[in-house]
Amino acid sequence: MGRYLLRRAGASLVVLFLAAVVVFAGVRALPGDPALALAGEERDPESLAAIRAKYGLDEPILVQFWNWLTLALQGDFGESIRTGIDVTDILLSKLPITIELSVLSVLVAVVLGIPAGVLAAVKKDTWIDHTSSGIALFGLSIPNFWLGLMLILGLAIYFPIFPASGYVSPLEDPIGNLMRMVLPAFVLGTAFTAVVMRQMRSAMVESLTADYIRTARSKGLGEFTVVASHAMRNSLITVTTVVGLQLGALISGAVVTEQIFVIPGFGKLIVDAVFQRDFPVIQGAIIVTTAGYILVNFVVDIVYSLLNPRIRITGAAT
Amino acid sequence: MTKHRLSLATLAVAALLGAACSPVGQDGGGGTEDPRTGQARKGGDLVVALSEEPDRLDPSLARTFVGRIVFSSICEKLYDVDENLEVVPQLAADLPDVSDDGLTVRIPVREGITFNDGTNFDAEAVKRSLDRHREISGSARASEIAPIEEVRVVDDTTVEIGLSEPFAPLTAALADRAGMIMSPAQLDKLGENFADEPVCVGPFSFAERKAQDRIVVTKSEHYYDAGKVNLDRVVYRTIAEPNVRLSNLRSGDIHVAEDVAPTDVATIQNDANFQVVETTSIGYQGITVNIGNGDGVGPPFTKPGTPLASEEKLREAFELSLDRDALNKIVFDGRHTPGCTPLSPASPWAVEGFECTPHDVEAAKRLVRESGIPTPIPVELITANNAEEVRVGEVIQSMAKEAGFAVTVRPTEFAAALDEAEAGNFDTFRIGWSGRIDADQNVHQFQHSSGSLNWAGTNDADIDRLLDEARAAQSTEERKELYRQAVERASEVRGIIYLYHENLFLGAAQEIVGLEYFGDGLIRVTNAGFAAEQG
Repeated sequence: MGRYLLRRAGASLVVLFLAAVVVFAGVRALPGDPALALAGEERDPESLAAIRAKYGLDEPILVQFWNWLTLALQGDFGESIRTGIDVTDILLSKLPITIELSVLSVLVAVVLGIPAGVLAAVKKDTWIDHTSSGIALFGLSIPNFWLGLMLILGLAIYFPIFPASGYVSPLEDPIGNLMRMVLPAFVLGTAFTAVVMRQMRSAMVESLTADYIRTARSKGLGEFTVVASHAMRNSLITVTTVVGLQLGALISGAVVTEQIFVIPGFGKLIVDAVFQRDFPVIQGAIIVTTAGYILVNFVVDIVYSLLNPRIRITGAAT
Repeated sequence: MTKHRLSLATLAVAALLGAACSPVGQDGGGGTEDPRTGQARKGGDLVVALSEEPDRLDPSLARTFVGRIVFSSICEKLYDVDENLEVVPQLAADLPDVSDDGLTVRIPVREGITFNDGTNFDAEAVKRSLDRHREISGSARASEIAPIEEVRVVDDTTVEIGLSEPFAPLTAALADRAGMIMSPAQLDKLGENFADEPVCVGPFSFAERKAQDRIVVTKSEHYYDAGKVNLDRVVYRTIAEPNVRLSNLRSGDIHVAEDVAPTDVATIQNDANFQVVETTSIGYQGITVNIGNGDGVGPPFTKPGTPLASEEKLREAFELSLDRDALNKIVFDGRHTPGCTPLSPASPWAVEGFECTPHDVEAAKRLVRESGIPTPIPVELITANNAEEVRVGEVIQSMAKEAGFAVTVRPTEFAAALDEAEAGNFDTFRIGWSGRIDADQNVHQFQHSSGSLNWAGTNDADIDRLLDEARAAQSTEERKELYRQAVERASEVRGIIYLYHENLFLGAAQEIVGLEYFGDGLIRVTNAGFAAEQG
């Protein structure tokens, strides 16, 4: 286990370094000069030169990379070209928001998707199965942008139950926070619910025809126990993989939802930063997202072994 | 169907199309009350949605238009404008006194007022800020007040500015960020990081900023006219998506929405709970034609080798093919103001009686034939990559086609488009200017051969001379005449084909009174508040 963890940690560092190189080169390959983007309507040559000098944009790219990397390793991602605010402070303020939104949307997906998947598998080829699959397909197909606006119209304007947008910290106002998170979490979780439901159904269908289930039934166990304790537990391994991958993707993929509900999270941060060519913010945000993705996958691997003791993490495991 | 349901359905369709809704433009129950009238009650938090994130809140370094909106509540200037866009004193006690040779400008400043940190406002503070605007590294103000050579403190209430050359636009420059005076105590404390907690003279004090979310300002207890300030707080939120701004206005999450699309105006007007506040911008929108920017902005001016660059008559034909009124009706529900000069009719500098090149397809065809260039004549048009701009491009494409031009619309992400413009990699570029108070700031940098935004590559001796003379002239009438001549000459050269002046729309809850919204597009909230009867 220890060797495995060390290997994974080493591999993660390599991935992070490669990500840093790709991101750094990638943002500079974008058309659009950050000095011009920042200069706004005051684009006189002196201003542009001063901006480039201030942010080191006039240095050779390798020098820029080295300067950035050495500071980033110390947790200093520089300051936003646009606002002058410390990037680390920005990331630290955005991360909890997107994590909260992602976790809540996963919760929505798990709470809705797993029971629906189990039910569809148990009632395979009945109208319940078909209806669940239909709803899942609908959930997968529906654009977040459209669903978000519809929910705002219905539940914030027409029946004003939830606020249309914004974010307050749960530490300041727990109820207000929850009220503002319900609609975005639902929107973000909708497509994911469909994925979870379909995965759960497939895994359950396979499990329910396995030998050990037949054995369990022949031992006289009740159907509920067979489904819940045996079939479901094994099927959850597949779903856990999906949840893990999806959680990582959600951190960076909440872009549209955050735009619609004006949630100042990571997705919105990255999109705005790209449009404004705010290099330090883009770099910092993507590195942190990459790190989050790696971490989540690492945790998923560990959860595997807890769900199924037959899977042992060893030095040879992958 | 009730009015509410009608609106719901309208928005639903808009959302389905992924675009702003465009109902027939008829006035409904709301939108008729003048927001500048009505009694406000004391107290309340006003939430204003801005269309983009302001940059750093440092008057010397700030560059965004939305930043100016926030500054209007926390940082007053030596001069401001009134509703007629005439310059009036704000922190200055009177209009400046200019010496006969135009090289010395004396400005009396107000006495007995304090910054929002309680420290004293005086001539020394004015000098400190003006010097910082000119000298700080990366200053966005330096070029606006470049002719200033020295700022001298005459006494506690008078500063004297020495100029390297006569510079008539100075007063107008001091009516914008270059005229904002920062607290010397706060500058001592924060230095280059003044934007972290800006302190000026203003009806509101900066309270907090959450990046990409909100800027909060609270009523100042130090403001000299605090009795007129009604609101406790103003919260500026950033909501970039126009549909989302509109839905937040309708849900009551915000009270004022900046930059409402013309096609959304009727939707707001049709709801009795909301009002639309409208003003004509002092800026312009047009098509920049690359006539001498083949190798990057500035000299040497090289023609890019396109038909439009090489043949002045073809540019005339191109303009003759454009129907400004039709463009306005098709894309903007007829809500903007067609025009053909850089000086908006809302500006005191407007060129009165100026005749636009009329829409005349036959004349355009004739000029194309006379040019001898085989048709269709290829023209590439860069536009911003949003739905509205692409529609503008497509309308231009279809109009110009009639005269024999094959316009290719190239929607380009804005930062990338600026790169192309700087490098001279374009035929034509659909871009505008938000406008400034003085005519010079709307013409010189675009039309003068030395202009930093001369993307067209205009290099015309007459235009240069007229604009230089207009800068130096001290009489307003003389300057107006020079700008009239400069605009006439520019309309012949056609480095920029001006199309229209935007009408700016604010969406606001009906209960909001006292908002001031002039042609400069700033949302002035000093006297704003919630209507007393709501209270």
